[in-house]
Amino acid sequence: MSIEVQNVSFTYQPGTPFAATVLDRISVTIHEGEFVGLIGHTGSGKSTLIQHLNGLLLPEQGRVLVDGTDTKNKSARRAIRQKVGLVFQYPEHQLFEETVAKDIAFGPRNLGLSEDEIEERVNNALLTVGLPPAKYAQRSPFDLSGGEMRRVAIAGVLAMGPSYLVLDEPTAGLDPRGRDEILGQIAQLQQEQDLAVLLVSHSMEDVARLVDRLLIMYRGQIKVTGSTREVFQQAEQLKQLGLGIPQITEFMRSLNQVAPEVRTDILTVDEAVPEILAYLGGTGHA
Amino acid sequence: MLKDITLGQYVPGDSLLHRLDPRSKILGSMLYIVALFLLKSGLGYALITAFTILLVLLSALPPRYVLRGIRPVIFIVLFTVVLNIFLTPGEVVWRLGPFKATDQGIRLGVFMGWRLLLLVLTTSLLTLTSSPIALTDGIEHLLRPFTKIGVPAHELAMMMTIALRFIPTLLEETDKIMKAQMARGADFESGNIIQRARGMIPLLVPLFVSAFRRADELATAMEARCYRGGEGRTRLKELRFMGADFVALTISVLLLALGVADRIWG
Repeated sequence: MSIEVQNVSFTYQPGTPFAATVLDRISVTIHEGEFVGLIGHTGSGKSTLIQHLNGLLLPEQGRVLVDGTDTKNKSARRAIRQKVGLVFQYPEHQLFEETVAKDIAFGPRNLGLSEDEIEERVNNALLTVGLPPAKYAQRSPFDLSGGEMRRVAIAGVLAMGPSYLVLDEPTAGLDPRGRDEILGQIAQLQQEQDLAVLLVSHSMEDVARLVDRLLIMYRGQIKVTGSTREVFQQAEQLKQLGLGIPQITEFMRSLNQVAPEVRTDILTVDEAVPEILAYLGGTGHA
Repeated sequence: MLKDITLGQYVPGDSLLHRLDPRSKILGSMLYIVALFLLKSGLGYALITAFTILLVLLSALPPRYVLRGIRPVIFIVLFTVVLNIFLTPGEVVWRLGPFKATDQGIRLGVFMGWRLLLLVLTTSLLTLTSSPIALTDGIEHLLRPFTKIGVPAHELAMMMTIALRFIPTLLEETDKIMKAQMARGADFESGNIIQRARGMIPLLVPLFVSAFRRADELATAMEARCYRGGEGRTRLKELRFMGADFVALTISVLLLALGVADRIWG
């Protein structure tokens, strides 16, 4: 079971002076249960690519298969959108109901579930994003703080019961604490519920800490792909694409210049600490 | 879908039409329209059609793209043509049940339809080659003499600028919210009229919320920069008539003369 993007190309506003090829023969597979990061500059085609994953956009060339079903298949559209949950940037802008519970119920209701099932899903989704239903379910979504609104919006997608969750910069505009909370909940969800997650992000630190595999997009193509560690080893190539590597990886690379025995494939501060201590101990500085 | 609207969309460029002063383009379009409605002979129509084709070529835009501006009005044009053909009294040339197509009707219908097409084509050429800011600047200048009799020229122009400025933003916002709700299984395309109207709520509520938020932010931003109306305001880009503008205005006046002459003697 997987989402397979096969040789997909896409052009916005074809046949006008504004025509722009945003995707250029992209092929990628997202497997069940894996945590994938998608990185690229503004305008590299990330948002366009993720809208292909649940059939909001249909490829001009090539095809997208979700668990074997082509997204062009009209009758399977609702099933595909249920399977592939898509959280847009600033998802709190889509809230519209009087209460939090009703807004989260919008998706499950469109799926035609029973009232009992809907209620259960709403409560579970609220718990998953760390908002106790007793306190939040009956409040108006417009009275919540920015971070809470964002989590309600994410809960609205989770309540659809997706097997793949796609998040477009879920932490944009949040303070560091709100960001850590949301990313922590996503990571927990991915492990506990065996959910495949595709995380679009600008933060190298965030993806380094969380994801197993990285896709790097540049001008409508996937230029680099591999495990997070492998990708961040190719610092030179990333710089050519105008992207950086995590600060701590950069630091370890510099340290490696004077101390060749230090590993350079470090992704987080936690990983770096024993490495640095070992080096200091080894040379007798400690 | 929403993006197919060419009317009112500016395409940046450096053609002769792009460089003309917006005032001469606005005045020229007005004279063109008056002339268009004065014309009545086939020769007159042929001349103004040739002139319009010349304008499209001068704009250096892909002709097919310019023609797309006509699409939204095709229905109105066809409606006008059919009404004219069947409802004008005169010599009957063809019957369909109770409907009679007349000789004069066909003539009038074809001319009317052609007139509307040229009208839409030329006005969309105006907005395609002038940025919204240039257009409203031009309108403000042209309205300035009327401030004496209480026309709030600057305020009108500012309102138009803001409205035009936010059309693409709101279209984009609509598109985004629609997609976000569709990702949650919303269906905007099927069902009867009541279901469809109900289905619009998840789209309209967020759209209004964001429009109000944007209006509020814009007001704050304008006040923060000490906006207090048009009095005493200076401009970065002053509008100035060039040689080409005088030529354009002369041609427009000639066009009007052609229209008057055709109406009297044609």
